[in-house]
Amino acid sequence: MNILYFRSFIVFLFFSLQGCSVAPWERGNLAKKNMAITVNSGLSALRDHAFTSKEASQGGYGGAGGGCGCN
Amino acid sequence: MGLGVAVAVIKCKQNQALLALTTAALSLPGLDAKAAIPVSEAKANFQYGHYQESDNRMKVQIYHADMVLPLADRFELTFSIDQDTYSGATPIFSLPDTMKNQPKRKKGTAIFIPTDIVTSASPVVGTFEVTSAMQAYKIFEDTRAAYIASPPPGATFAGSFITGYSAVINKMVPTGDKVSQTFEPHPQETRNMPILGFNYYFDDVMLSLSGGISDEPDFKSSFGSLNLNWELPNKLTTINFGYTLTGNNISRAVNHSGEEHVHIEDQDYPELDEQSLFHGFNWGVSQVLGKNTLLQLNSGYTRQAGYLTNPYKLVYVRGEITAEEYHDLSEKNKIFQEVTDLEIMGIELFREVRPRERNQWTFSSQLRQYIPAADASVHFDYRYYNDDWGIDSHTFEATWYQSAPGGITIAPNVRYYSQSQADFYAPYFLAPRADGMYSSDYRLSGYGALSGGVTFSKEFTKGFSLEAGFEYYTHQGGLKLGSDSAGDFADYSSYLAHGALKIDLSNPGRLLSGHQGHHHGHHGAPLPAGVMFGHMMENAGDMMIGYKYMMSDRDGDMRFGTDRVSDQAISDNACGSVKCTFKPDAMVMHMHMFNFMYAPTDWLNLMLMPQIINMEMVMEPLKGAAEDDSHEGGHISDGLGDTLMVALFKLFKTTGHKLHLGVGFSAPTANINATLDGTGLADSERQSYAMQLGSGTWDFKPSLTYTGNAKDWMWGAQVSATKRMQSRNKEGYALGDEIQGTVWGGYSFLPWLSGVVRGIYSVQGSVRGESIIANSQSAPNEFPENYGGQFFDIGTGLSVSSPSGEFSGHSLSVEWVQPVVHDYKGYQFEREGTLSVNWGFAF
Amino acid sequence: MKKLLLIILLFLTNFLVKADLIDQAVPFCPAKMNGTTQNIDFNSYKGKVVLIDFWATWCPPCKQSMPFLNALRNELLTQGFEIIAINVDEDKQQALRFLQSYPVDYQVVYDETGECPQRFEVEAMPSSYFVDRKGQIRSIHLGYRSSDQQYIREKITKLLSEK
Repeated sequence: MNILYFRSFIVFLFFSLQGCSVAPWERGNLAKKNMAITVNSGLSALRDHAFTSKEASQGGYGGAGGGCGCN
Repeated sequence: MGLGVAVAVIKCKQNQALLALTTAALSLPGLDAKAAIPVSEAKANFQYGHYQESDNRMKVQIYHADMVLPLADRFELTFSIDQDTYSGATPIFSLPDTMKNQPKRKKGTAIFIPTDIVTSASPVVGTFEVTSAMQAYKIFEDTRAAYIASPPPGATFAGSFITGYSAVINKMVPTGDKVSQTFEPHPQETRNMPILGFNYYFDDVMLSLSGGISDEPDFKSSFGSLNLNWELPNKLTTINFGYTLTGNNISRAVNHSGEEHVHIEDQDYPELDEQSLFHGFNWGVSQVLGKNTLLQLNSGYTRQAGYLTNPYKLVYVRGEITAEEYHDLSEKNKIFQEVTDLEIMGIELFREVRPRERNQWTFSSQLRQYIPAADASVHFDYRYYNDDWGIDSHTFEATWYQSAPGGITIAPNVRYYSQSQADFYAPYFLAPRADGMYSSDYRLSGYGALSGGVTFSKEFTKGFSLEAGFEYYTHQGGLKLGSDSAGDFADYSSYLAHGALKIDLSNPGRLLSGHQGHHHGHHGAPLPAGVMFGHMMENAGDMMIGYKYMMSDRDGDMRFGTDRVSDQAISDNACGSVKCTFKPDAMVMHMHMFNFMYAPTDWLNLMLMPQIINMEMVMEPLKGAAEDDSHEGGHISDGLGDTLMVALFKLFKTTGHKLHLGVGFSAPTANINATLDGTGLADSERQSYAMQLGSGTWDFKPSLTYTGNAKDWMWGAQVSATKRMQSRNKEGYALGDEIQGTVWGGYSFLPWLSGVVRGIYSVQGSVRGESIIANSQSAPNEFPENYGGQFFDIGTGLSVSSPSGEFSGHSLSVEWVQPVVHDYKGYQFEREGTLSVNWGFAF
Repeated sequence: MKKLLLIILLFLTNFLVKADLIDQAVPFCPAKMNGTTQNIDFNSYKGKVVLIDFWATWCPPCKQSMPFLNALRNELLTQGFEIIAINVDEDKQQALRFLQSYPVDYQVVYDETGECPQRFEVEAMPSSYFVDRKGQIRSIHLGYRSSDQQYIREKITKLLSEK
């Protein structure tokens, strides 16, 4: 019984690690503008800059950008 | 847990991905090159942001423009430019409440002046009477003064005085005392940040390279980054790697270095000139989880080394300098550096010191989920941050993008942030720290922040969209996750409002004009770069965006009428009834104008031109004039200028000749209260009329333009005027009216290159009325009668335009206008050449 | 033990190469012209060289290829070249709206169900299937860049020269 559970788990893992397979023609919703990781690059950069100037945490957004002598 | 369950849980199509992976890998005949990652079409973005904190603290205006331009099938150029102008007050240090705002009463009056104990080296002597808590301090100071006046033989300062001093100080900070912040007004400063980048698309890999600088008076930064984006063959997984290198140069601006807030005599610390270097790495993976689901996981590491301290913030540290050491400093002329490594700014008040290294880690995830039933998508983001300064934080953010009919999207958003405090942070320090690191910067304290906002956007068919949004943010100690918050003394809130115009030529409405069917070639001959309102579009529905840059850099002499004039003459005559003490030495002006044109019909064009102006004037004392420091250090004014709105009407057109009329208005959107001290406060002395960003009045701007062309030749003429429609603006004056005539001729050397020469004659009136708020009245440019005149200039320039191909629709022209003959009214700083660069894109 | 073998076998079947479509007849698929309930019959195109193009409005390279394909089809029509574009938008209305602004001269058929691309084993968007005069699929081109125009033209011309 334990071995069965173990093997099932392996198969489960295998399927789940593949990720859900989405066919190339089913990508319509993923291609929508509002499904992008960054929908609004201008606004994201602006907010990013505001938060970085006023909070101690930096980064985590993956964008390039210079420092600033934010007082 | 059986196989059946496993398969049922994951509702997916079977095997497509794996098949694709294997067949592609085996490169079977008949299957061609792998599918490519699409290259984008041209895009441009113009954005304005306004950030404002509560209680008149920081205020920032942010102007941003960026564009992506495809250069070849697999290659695109990216460029962005930001200009932030900021001013307002920031907290400089924090103190226990009992040491702040002690009432000091001028003897014999009822006037109480709030005083910080630490900022007044001798607060309790002289004509001031003290109350309550300061009484003990006064007794101590009086006793010490008596000791200094006649020291008992053989006695030292130690012993009872030290005990007495400690007793006094300790009484002043009972436990649990509230904390108060002290603020420092920050004069206006501007930061510019251009970034240039390139993207190259291989079949499944995209490589990005970018670099830029961030330039502000006390912080100069250069940075570059390299990024690799790899879409795996299954097309469901994308891997990302990036590296960023940043080098910074830090100095301290004298006018808000804190030195004028605290009084400490005989400082001998070197000027700040420090560096820091950051290496940043990031890596991540994004995975399609289903038809409607995308997940991205990211991680990053940054190593910062060098000067990481804030040059302006101060800390209160008790015990770093002992009472005996204070005595030796003032009586025995010991120097500060012998007594402490910290930079002294006042009694127990020092500049902060942060470690010279910081290692930062981030782990974040982004989930994107589409909800078909609502035609909406929801975004969840989480970030965990940790560094070796003891700060760790959690950020949670959720945004709902709701599509509505008419191309409208409404996106409300909420964000929660919580951070722990840095190891070396405290609002004030009652004992020195072993590691010598101190900061009271509220940004390193333990607190939480909550923000909420909404953004509206509407897409129009021509490929552009408009967006506006608002977000409210509140920083509160009490919102922190867990314990150890800083309390509420540093609480504040802010809002961020933004507006944007986006042009995306890959929109379905625009797509096919890219390579084929681009019938909007750039008609007509190119215009000289300095001419405004000279070009009309001919087809209904046409649009054009443009950018014009004008720059002048003057460092010549002073003039009166047509002649050079001596310092003596200026001093005696140019400043009305007083003697001038200064004259302009140099003036630099940069103007950035953005042009949006739309043709609703083929005989009418509508134009909107907002502009941003940066000016700097440096003054020089007149020879033999009295001592005066009102103009020391030069003056800047930066910000939004007046906005032009113009309608162009086609009057007449035949082959080779065109005539059109312009009816325009200049809206007074610029602030005209730029002050000498940069703070923009209502009763501060104003900068001169020449240094204000706009006219302050609604102005009528008519123009009549004729253009002609035959074969490779082109010519034209224009008459234009500026008539102020109000006799006085809110500051009490109005600029003079202007009228200008210009004639030009040019020749096309190559199909894409032409040269132009022109003459310009203009007449300007002087300033009417005068500024009701005082300006310093010490230089000629502060007097209204020293404005205006008649001028004749010559301009020469080149134009580049591409009639067909990848760059059709773009035009670029450059012009240099050189003053030739001038007759100035009153005493004026000589006009010199102006450079204009104009870029336009018609679509 | 048997169960483990079964699992491994199932796992391994994933790696079996599919019966690939090269040199096969065009599969049947339920794509319909707008306004009809009849499925398109690929057999009726035998004798002509056909380019079967899978596209969608959410796929930018698909839209980029359309002006080129339209021009190519009109040019080579008299030589017996046709294009059948199979639109796979889940909402046909989006495709119809797009085509109103940017019409093409060649035949467009619609399959909202995803059945057609599955039968054609479509691996990328867009996918172009080059069919010879005998109705056999001779090659498949995945994706589109403007630098592919030369290649596509050559392939079609070669197939047209065959009898």
